[in-house]
Amino acid sequence: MEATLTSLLMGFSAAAVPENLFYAFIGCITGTIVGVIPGIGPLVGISVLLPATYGLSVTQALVVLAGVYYGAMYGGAITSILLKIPGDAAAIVTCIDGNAMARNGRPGVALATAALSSFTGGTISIIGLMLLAPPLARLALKFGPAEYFSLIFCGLIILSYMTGGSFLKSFSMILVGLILGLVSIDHMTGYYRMTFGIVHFGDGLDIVAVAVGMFGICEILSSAGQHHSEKVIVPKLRELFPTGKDIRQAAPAIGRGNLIGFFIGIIPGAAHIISTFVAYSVERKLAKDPSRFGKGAIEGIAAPESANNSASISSFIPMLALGIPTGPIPAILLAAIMIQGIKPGPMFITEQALTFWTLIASMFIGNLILLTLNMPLVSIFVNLLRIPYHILYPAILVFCVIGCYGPKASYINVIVMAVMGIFSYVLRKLEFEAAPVILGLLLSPLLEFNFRQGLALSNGSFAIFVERPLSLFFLCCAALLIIMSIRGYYKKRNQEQQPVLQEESV
Amino acid sequence: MAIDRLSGFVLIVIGALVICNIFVLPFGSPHRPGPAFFPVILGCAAILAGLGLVATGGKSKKISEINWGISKHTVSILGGCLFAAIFMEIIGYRLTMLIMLAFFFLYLEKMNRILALLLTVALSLGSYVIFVDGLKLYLPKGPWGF
Amino acid sequence: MKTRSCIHVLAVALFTVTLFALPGVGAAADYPSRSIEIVVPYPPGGVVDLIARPFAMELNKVLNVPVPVMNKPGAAGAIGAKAVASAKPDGHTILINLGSMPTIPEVDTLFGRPRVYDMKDFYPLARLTSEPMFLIVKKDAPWKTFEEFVKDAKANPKKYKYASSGLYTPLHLCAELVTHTIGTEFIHMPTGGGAPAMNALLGGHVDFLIAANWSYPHLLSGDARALAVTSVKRSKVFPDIPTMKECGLNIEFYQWVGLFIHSKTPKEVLEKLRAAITTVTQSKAFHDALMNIGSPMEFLDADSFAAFMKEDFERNMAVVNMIGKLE
Repeated sequence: MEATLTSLLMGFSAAAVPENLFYAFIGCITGTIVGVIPGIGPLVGISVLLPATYGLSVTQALVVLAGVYYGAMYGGAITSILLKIPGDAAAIVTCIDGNAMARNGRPGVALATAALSSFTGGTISIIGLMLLAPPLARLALKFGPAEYFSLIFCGLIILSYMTGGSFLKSFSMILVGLILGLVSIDHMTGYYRMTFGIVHFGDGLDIVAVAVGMFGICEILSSAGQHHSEKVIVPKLRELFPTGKDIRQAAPAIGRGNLIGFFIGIIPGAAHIISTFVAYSVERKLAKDPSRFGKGAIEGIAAPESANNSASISSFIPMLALGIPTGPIPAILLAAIMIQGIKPGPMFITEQALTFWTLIASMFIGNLILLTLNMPLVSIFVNLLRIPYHILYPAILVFCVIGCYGPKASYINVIVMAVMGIFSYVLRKLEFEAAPVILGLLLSPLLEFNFRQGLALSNGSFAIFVERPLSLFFLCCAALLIIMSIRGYYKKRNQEQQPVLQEESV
Repeated sequence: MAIDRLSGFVLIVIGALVICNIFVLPFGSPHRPGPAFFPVILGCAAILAGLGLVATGGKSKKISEINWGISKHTVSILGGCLFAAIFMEIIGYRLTMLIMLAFFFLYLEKMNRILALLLTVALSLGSYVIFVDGLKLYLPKGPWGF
Repeated sequence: MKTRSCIHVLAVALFTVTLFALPGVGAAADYPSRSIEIVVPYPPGGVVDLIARPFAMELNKVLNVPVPVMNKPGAAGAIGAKAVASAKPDGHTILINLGSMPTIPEVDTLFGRPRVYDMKDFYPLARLTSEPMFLIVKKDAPWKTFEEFVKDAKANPKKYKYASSGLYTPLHLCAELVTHTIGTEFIHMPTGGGAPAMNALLGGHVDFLIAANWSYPHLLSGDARALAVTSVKRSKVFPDIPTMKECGLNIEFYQWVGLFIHSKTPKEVLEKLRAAITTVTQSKAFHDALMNIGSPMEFLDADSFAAFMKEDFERNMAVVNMIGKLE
């Protein structure tokens, strides 16, 4: 413990010089701006600043890149809360309660909660990373294809509880998302699958186009034209910050979201996005009064924001402990380290102790700067809501189009965005939720790939999914949840029939 | 008809379509599942879920009670997206946006002429500057270099 | 009052924007005019990815535009290759891929399905590295030498498992070559790329792996051991590992990483790019980065690369034909 603290102090002394603080600041600002724009995520921000970091030292480069990453995580929450349009896929869940709270006249509280939750989640996660990186990485390795499949399947069942409507309706939406995720070149064999001859679909439906379409376009479709003589939300100064009661309500949610994000982040794949969905579902299931969710429950903002910052940090663990990056952003960091002549790999933490601890320290600093940057800016951001909607929505449309076209230079993406917007609009009218579709889309390739790999590994035997203990555990959890929901349905039906019977007997 | 029932039927149709569409691909065997394996499972799951919705959906709202809310705004927004998608690569980003925004601000929202023009130009050209010169993204130029 | 302040703000914004926009109109279409994207058709962390990133950084220094690296994994590199073949042929999208690149379309034909991409869609820009493969096992595996492994494998067909980066990728082809030469059977688990395959080995889900030098951080740390190497001469980096030929198996296999671009790219752009790439390969930073992952530079420029690829292709097709159709 002492050795850890001394190493950490060493890292801080290297990281916390004024120059580095300045670079962290630049990183955070770029990240926030980039995160705010729908469809443009941290990768773009990092790509923009990366060339500028070549001339910098390792510490400075890491500090900038870390700042961009967290900045983007928070930036996405800003548009989610104020406009119900996700800045990136990780901010989708924040749209639900975040925007509801904003409409209730408390946008400042929502923004501040998001900032605080992100900071807390991130900080605690960094401590976790510091202390637990190598053993956790080894644990992550124990997850083979069968375990991943069962974990994701169980996760999907949990997530069917995430919306207030019936389990069956949410599950159906997840299925639709899974089916949409089938559109691509098959990853294992190379056949074109359900692409209808459109070459662009070889890569699969772009998650950004679908998310921006289902949330952004759908939102302006529903709201445009209804707002003419409207009461623009004018926030009052004293309502800009959370009260003690708010904080007390949010604190446990932050803690739970943190834990969920931390563990899910280690899994390769779109971990920080998935962690937001799971954190939200868990809060909703555990709440004493679930009907508050969807109407501005503070836990609905605190948990996902805490989870996604937490997951972004723990996603570095396999990269730092083993030299194996789990996603494009850890890979960029890995390359940034490599180009400075430092060997990544299992020996990194021990041999390159100074760099490791400087990285840790710069993560703390980045998080802190983000918080201090954004809290005062809350009052500026909320003024965005003062812009009359009839001016705002065409601007939003422009940014959505750019966000979908830009990264891949694909006009097909813009069409996908429009189509998904219509689809989401119809879903809304039919009283279905859109969020589970995105989740299904994200998880479909993972679910299928691990399923087929598991079967390849077991040479055709389905028993592998129940033979391996972790896998069996997750499948049992899933089975339990399904049984619970069926029981719940019958109980509700009986309750509804009881008063009828009583009336008849009178 | 109750909307949940309708949704259930649609889901069954989706499941059936997936299965029919995918059967041209090899199904494979359990020890090496082919590209059609998982889609067939999903298709069957969709059909089952659809049946579940049809069975339990009797008490939901009726279709006739839905307020579709289709206004000239909804049509314009969708039209705008499609217009942008198709024409951006033909006449360039800036020109497309100028036309699209002019439509929205001047015609649809009937705003004050000067303000509308200012906004149109500022958003179209400004967004190009931010994204292409600032963020180094790619937005297409038209045949005249604009 | 609201409207007036809006106009005020917008007027200022418009003025500022116009200042920037004017020089931009009619800007010269010089190469490179925007960021150059490098497509890695495998998940992050594998050899292709680890070579692509330092390369991108150096190319950025030479050409002065951002060079982002995009991972587009799947289908043994076909998805990423297709993405580059469908991109605009203006020199701003480069593919970096493995030696399996020419064989994958042949595999498509073997299966009677439409080719995802064809080699004639591409122009070979340069070969960056070329290295032999190692047979790697976990540190607590029961075999101490390659001969022990061969004997055990022969005696227990279908008992041992290996992971690869996908069907018909170099890791798979080489493993199949070993399988056939030994005369036994293994269970094959395809993954999305080199990094997941290494994860599978380290997690104990498979028994061995055929991988190239880039696995060398794990070899150095002792988490994994190499039993044999597939080159003719022993590796300079690991001189104690015997070659497979020394152990009695007539196997020779190399994996290379090369750069490709759309075949319709204009000639002037190609020349500029080739010159830039040559400059990058001469940079010390790039050399060091490659040495850090254990893949020393073996640069071949476009024409020599094309000739080398042809010869290597014949070698690989021999293996593919030997394996035949594997689902």
